[in-house]
Amino acid sequence: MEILKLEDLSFSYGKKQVLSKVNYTFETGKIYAIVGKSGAGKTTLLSVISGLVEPTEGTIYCNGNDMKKEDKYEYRSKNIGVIFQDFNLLTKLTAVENVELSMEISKENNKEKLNRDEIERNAYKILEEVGLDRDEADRRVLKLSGGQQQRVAIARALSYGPDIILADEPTGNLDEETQEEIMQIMKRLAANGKCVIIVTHSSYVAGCADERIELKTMKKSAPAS
Amino acid sequence: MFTFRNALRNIVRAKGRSLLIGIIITIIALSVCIGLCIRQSAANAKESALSDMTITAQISIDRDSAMSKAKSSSGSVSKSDLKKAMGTSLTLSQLKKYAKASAVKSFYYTLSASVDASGSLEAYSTSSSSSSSSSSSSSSSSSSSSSKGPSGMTTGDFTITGYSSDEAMTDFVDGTCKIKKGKMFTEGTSAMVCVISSDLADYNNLSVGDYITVANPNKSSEKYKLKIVGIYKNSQSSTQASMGGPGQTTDPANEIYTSYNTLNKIVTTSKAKYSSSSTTAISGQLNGTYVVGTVANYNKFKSQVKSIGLSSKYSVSSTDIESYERSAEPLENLAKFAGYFLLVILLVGAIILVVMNIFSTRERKYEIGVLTAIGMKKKKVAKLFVSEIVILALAGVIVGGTVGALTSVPITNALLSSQITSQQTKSNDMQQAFGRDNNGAGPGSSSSSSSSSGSSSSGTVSGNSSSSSGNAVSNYVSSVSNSINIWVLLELLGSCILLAIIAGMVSVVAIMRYEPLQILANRD
Repeated sequence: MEILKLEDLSFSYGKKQVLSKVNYTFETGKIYAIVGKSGAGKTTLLSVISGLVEPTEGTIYCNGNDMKKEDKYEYRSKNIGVIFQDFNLLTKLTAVENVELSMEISKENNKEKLNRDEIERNAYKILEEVGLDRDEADRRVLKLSGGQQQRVAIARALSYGPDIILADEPTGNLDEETQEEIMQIMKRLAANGKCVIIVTHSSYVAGCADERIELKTMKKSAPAS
Repeated sequence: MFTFRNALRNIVRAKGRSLLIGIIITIIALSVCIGLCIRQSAANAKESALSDMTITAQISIDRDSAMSKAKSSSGSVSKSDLKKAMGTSLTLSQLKKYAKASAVKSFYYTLSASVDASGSLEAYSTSSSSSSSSSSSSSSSSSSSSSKGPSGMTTGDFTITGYSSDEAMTDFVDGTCKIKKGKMFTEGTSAMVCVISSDLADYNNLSVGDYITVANPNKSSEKYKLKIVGIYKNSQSSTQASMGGPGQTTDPANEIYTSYNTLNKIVTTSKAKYSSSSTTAISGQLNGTYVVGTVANYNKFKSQVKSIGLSSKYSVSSTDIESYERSAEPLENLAKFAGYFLLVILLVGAIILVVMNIFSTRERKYEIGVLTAIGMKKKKVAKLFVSEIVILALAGVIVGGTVGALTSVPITNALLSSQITSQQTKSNDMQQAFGRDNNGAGPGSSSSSSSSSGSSSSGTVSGNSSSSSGNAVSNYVSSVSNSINIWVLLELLGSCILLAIIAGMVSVVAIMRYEPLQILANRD
């Protein structure tokens, strides 16, 4: 099912054109790997899709709605979950607090009732789903390993149940075993009907994707394996 | 609720930062509280003192206005212009006309005149060099002890005051004077009777039923005989007499009291003996006192007399209010100082908090980036940051306000005491510079002091202008208590919250300018 559509999407930093007339349609239940050389605009594309920056030209449709007319903050806290390359977790908070905060922001933006017990229960549950037990969930983020922090970032992105998951180099700096575990989570998400878009340099990650997209051409290419 | 809960969490998480900001706000709140309490004390003292007083008003010639009118463009004063501008004192019928104003509760008047001692009578004096010479000067047209007053009126040994009613005898009403022997003359009598002070009676070995003879200071052969019907004791010692001049007339012991009608008879008789242009006759000074009660009525009276037709040559004044203002001078000075102190504290406090918040917001730039990146709206982030500082401000107000409330009274009293000491030192220095001892030197001379707690009043008040003229003995308001009230708390809360919001605005501006992607991309 079509969930995200990019139409003639262009972006430039001043005079430097980074993205030019990008057209693509993303569907639910699939993993997309966006690949390309460094500086090709992979992270920029992710930022544009997540609403962190406005495209200079073109349109993004999410569930058929023109994103220009949507509130970007509500969009980021409802429709789309972003997993940043550097995790971007709040280091003074524990893992569970990071997830809870994200849930609270989403509920607040969508004017839903905040039930503290329910939020706490769900936060632990999501963290457990990504492989963090209660003890790890109660630890401050800085005291967790890179892989565990990545899991917290994934849990945070999933906390409010978005349909689209955007991940920027989710396995960068992680050992092979952890990479595999993270990708298993991604596969599970896609199997649960999410649209997972991963920006990556890793051939392993690209190989796990249902569709591999070369950013220069934005053309579909066959998975690596 | 979301904002408040997260603001509280952030405060608890960043203990060091919160503690530092909290301490600064507490110090500001404490200083502001003390400053506000001092101001409030002054206001309370004034309000309670004035509300406890029965305010009286007098109408007199506006000398300042006359002087400025008489001044030529070159700055010199023409005597004829000045006389013209000053006009004449109001007559009794004119004074009574203004008593019809609705603000006036009651009206009384006094007539005072200066007379010389005659026969065996001698003016009471504690100074050996100024003994009365009236007896030796009986043949001369002008007594050697008599002197020309500033207005050309001759000043004799005694001040004889005639009262229109018992109410007019404020010294007896307030208890300063009490009849010890005999009794007070009948209200409104025109019989030649009087009451004299016990000091004067003892000095001249006089008792009730005796007669005293007083003479026109300008013509000693013009004599009037008065029967003593009562002898009063003046609790105000002669040393407390004001610095009215070197004559004995200013000594309270030399004040002779009689009825208005009696004195008016003397003055009228004297006037009839001489031509209208002559200044030899005993001249009486008529003073009307309007009892208005409250300050509001006093202000109303001021506007009412103008509408009744009081010329601009005359002005309305109140010795009660003036007396209070003299007594409250140190407290008013302190309140003024507290006002400036408040402004400085608020300004410095605002600068410190703004600078701290600039650094704090820069330090939390990453947090702002993350929060906005995961969907928290910028205005919510701004609200969160402002809430944090407002919560800290509230905590600061509670702690600072409590400590301030407990310490403001002793601090105010200590400051007030030093203010009074400095005022008294100034007054003493002035007296020494004039070569006088420090007796009767206005407010500074009074050794006693009064306190004001919202109920007690300050300052001795002379309701009657004739008895109080030149008699400026007042007590200073030297202590205050319980100056904090709901308005002080609200002002304290308001000023601290305002400071917090001003400081918080720095965060708001920064948050609105920050773009999450830029912050996260430039994290290092």
